[in-house]
Amino acid sequence: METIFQDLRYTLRQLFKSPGFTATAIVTLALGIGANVAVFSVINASLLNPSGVPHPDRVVALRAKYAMGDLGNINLSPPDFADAAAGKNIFTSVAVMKKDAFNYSVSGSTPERLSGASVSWQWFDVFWARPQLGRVFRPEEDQPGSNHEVVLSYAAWKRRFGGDPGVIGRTLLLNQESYQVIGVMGPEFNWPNQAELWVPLALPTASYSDNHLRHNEYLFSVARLRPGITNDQASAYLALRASQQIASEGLSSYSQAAGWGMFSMPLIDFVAGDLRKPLFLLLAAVMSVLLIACANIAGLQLARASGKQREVSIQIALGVSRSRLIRSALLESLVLACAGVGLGLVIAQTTIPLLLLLAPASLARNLAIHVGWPILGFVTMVGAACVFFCGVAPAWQMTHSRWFQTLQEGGRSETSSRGRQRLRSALVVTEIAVAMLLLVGAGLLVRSLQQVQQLETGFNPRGLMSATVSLPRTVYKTDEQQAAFFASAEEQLKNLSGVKSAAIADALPFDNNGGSASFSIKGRTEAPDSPGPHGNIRLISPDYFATLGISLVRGRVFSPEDRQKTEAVAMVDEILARRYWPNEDPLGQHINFGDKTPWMEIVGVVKHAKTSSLEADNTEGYYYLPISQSPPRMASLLVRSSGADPESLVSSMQRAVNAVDASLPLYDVKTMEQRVDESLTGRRFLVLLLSAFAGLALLLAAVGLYGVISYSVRMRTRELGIRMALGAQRTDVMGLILGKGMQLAAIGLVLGLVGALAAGKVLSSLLYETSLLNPLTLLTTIFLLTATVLLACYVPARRAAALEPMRTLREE
Amino acid sequence: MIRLKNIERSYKTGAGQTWVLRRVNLEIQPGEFITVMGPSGAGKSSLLNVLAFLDDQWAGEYWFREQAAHTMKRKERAELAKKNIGMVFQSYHLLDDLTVMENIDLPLSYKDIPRNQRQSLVADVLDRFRIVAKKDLYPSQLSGGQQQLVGVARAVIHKPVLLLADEPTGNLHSDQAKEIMELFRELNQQGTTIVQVTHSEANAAYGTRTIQMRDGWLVGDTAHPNIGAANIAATSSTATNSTVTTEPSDVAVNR
Repeated sequence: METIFQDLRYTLRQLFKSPGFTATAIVTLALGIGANVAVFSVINASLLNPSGVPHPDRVVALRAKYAMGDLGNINLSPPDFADAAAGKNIFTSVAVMKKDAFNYSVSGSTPERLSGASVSWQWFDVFWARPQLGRVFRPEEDQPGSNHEVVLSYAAWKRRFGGDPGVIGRTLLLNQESYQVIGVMGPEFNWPNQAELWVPLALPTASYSDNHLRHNEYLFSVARLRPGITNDQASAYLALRASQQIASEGLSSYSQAAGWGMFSMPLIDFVAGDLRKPLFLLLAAVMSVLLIACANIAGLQLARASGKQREVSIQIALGVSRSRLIRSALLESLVLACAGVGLGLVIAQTTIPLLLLLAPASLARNLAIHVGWPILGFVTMVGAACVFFCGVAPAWQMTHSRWFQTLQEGGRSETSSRGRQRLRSALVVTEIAVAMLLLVGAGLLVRSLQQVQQLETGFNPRGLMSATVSLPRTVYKTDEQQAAFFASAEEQLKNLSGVKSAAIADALPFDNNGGSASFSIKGRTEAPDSPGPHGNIRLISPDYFATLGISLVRGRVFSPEDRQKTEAVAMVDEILARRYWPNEDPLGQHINFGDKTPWMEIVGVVKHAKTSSLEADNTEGYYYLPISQSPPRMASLLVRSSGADPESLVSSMQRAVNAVDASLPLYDVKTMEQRVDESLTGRRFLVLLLSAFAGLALLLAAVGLYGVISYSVRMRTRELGIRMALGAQRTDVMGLILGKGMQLAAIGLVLGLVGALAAGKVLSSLLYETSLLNPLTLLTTIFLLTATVLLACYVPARRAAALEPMRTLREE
Repeated sequence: MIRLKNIERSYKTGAGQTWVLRRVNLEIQPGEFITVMGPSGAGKSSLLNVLAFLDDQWAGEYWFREQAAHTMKRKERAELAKKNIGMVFQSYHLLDDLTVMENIDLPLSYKDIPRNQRQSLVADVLDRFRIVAKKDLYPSQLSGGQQQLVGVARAVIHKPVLLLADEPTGNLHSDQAKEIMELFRELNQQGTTIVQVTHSEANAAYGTRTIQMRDGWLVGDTAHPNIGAANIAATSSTATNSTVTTEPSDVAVNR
């Protein structure tokens, strides 16, 4: 034990004696470790251990699908939920949720919008979430008319009620109805989407068994698996229930024709969705950065070992064991790694909020990152890896040197120097290869992002401001009241100064709202194996297309005369027109939603506008209905600015709405450009981070190369002096040194390119219309790497060229 | 061929300036074989470095084949050296990673000579120095004498008019030293001007003229037996400490 402390003291003294080396090593490691911890924290919070969900591997999302209708993963209907909940042997608890928002009114102040959810009473059981104060819902509170209880989130309790424990029992006015606060959840639970409050869903009991609602899927359902039950078994159970349902409906049923079914998937897969692969790609990238950092430090230590070789040789000659020398080398790495971990954690703590700021909303809003055991475990693992990778090469070299020869030659053993030089060169080649791999990956993703950004949305998002308003059920009880509100609000918006046009719709492109539904075409009988026509449905006011800038192709748009009591009308977009009326004119055709609904005449055809994604959104068409004929309770307001910054219209939009109803707040206020831009957040997140990590990798590789070339110049001082004495000009010497750097870079570059091609399968799934061999990207990457390599080699090359041959030869 | 006028060289040190060459005046005629002798620290190697243009921090005038080297830029001097001068070192200074043939080829590789011609020149030299059999060996596989033979071969490959040798036999056995000195004599007889630095009287005997140096002063020259007196007087005043802080005078004492 005493020798360990002695070695530690010696190591610390050595490190303090070389502040340049120590600082470089610690900062390099800290950058690598910090980036790793930050990315792993996001992965841990999203994929491995989501906050507030104990044993997340036991929680599954229950989903429905229509094989014939491009609907592979959608919510459940109330009867679907009842079928799932019947699986008592499969699930310990099953719950449903509908996202909701509430106008929270406090007397004398402007109403606020609180995000939340209407949930079935089992919701908290599924997540094993316990309230910090009070209680959660009872079954009898999840009934129509009895559901005026509210559970607050910890954040809402702190922010809006100052953390007052006396909040339990207080009455809140939500959507102009009274709700009693019965509980406050702990800080760790905020599902879904950082909800501020929860109220009981209170669906009528009959709706769970009403098969007419079978295909009205609007409930998000989760369940906790019984111990020993796997997701596959749960999925098989749901499939069985679906097939039993189809059998009971008959083989000519819609369910059979549409390929309807149910399945389950791990909740974390559902939440991470398409981000799983990019997140793991980022983790691989930061691990590569750490590998480069370790290789750099190993290289630096090798260089130091050269300087210490005579000292080590004397130690060996005096009887110090090789194991103690190895321990000493590893101890130095351990000290550096510990300092690197400490600083890395600080870097991670400052980077994580930035990471969440850049992350797609779908990911960031579900994340609550806490430093817990998984992260500490990861940090320990990373630290241990650093100790190993940084220390093993110098330790090996140190104990395999020909120490006797070293002593004899006064510490100038050319052979061992060359061995070290080769090892350092190999380390640098690896660094350059990894940096090249990351650069190519980042370059291709940047190119893809550029490609996607150039895609057209189908409307003109510039100069458009949008917001959402929700009408309380207690005040707006009838369709007429809702239609009257929207008509008045639209009128108020149109009259605003600086507004060119205004419209109202139940959902806007790129706002992630709105639904889709099947419909029937008059005079057409669908084949038994056909699921029937299907499309995205939007309820819009007459000026919707003019405001968005979507062109009318044929017919007319809706007019103010298309009201509740007039003939029902509809419009379709070109995609739907081509799909369902390929050889006939859709104008004058009639559609409806089933026997009990009126036929709606198609009066116009418009161009297609994208729904939610620029890159993968061309298959599903739209049909539009006048908002006045089917008014929703929640709608988006849209205004086009006559020239001013659309953001400047927000306060006047709020005033316009409050002129109709002073109790209604606007929320989800964004320009349409922001909405389109947000659809690219995921791709941009990946591009930004991968580019940052590639840049960091390049920087570290350049530092490594600089170290190797500097060391090589030092080792070759005699050779360079001789060459200059024999006629080599300074340009020859510079060329020699730059050539050495370029030689290493060229090997690394080729290996990196081969690596990029090998990783093509992972990369290509993230690319959009960009080939792995995109010449512009490859040339740019090669240029960038070459320029960096030249820069890294230039300083030592200049130093070499400035050598005085007379002096170098004399020093020999 | 060479005319040095008032060549001075000093280094800045903490205590002031350390002079390594003091007002050196020297003329070297084509075909001479000059030996520079003197105790350690006398300035022999410094003089050789000035002659070789390896050092360019000196003051004074240096005329090389009637060209004023002292007015030339560094690159021009290097070019002059590359064409006209060959160097032989005490510790051979062969490059460990190159074979004998590659080491000999090294000076040619810095000239604009076509590859074929270079190969032919190298082959001639290997043959002339009788080391063809060693051409693919590395320096570490040769004896000291053989290494110095390669060093000389490398120094003369480009047919320099001036060969400078800094204690060429210092690390060699006497038999090997004799062999190298015979080689020098042969080269001198073929017209190469040679300046060698040595401590050995036996080696000096191969030369045609001997120069004595002490504390940076040129204190004796067999070609001009009476010129050293003034310098001897000067050096005796600084003999105890070669570090002086006075400026050198402009008096040319050695002509």
